[in-house]
Amino acid sequence: MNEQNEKQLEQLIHRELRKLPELPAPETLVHRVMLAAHAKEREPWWQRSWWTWPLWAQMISLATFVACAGLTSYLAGAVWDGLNVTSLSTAVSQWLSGYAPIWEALKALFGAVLLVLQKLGQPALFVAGGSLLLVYFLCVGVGTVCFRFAIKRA
Amino acid sequence: MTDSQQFEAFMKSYQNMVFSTAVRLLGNQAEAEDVSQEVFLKAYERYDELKDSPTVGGWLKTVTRNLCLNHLSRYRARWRFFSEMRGENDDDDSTPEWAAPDTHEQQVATGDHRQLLEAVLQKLPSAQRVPLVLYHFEDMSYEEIAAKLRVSLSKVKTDIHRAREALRKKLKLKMTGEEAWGGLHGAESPCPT
Repeated sequence: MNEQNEKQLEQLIHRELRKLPELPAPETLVHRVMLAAHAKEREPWWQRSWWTWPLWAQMISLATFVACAGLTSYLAGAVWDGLNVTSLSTAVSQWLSGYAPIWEALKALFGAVLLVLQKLGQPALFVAGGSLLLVYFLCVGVGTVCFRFAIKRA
Repeated sequence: MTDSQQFEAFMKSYQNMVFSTAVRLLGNQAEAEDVSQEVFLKAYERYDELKDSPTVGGWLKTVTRNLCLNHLSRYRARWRFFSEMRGENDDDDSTPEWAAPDTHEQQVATGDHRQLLEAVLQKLPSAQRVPLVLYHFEDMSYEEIAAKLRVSLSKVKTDIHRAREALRKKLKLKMTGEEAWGGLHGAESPCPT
């Protein structure tokens, strides 16, 4: 198509589209918006956007944020400089030692699963993997059919 | 008149404009209704500033356009795998699902061509419909559309051209001489450049 035809087509389509009237909005739109607006008004201030919070709440949250950012920055700097890293790691390991029994239980469980898998051998692993893949593709297929059906209905 | 009543009156004045923009960009009435609701909720939050503003129509249109484009990029992308498995040509061959008269002449006789045009527009693939609507309804230039949609200029031009061709073919518009609907009369505004 040459440039002149292209321009002609553009003007033709433009005229046709601009002649279209506005589509009527659904009757329920005003009611829906008013319901949502009133529901929003009833929300407590902390559930709304930060910009609409009371000034005192904005100041406190801002101060808290600045304090947290400062602390994080200070700690990151300290770790980076290698200061007190040893004592920090000791503190962390002490804190983690409280969770040792959970870790041991998880280790045992993992070992047991590994042992079972070793006993079953490679074929069983392939079968399990294949079954998982099959189920996955089945879900994708069913999902696709449902989605397209829903789109068609809409 | 209370604030609520004032806002309801304000909504009634603009709801068709907002809804039309949303439907044409999204190609889906239910999603357009959701976006329209979101637009008016934003307007409600800022109603004190907006009620006396002379540019409120433009503000509503811009917010609607941005929310529609956000909606398309955020939510549609998740479903693209499912919904766009069929090729683009599938859309080109489809016919509108509303009860269309048997022949094109009957269309002319009953004056349903606007409904047909709306239906065909909504059936276009998003990649073609969105730039077409931005160009012809929102008066954006090719460059502005490319920047807004973050695609290349050549892609915008190609998509818009394909959309126009699809509309022309489906509506049996004639390029030269008299048009099928007598569509050369009543031009409303020049095309954006």
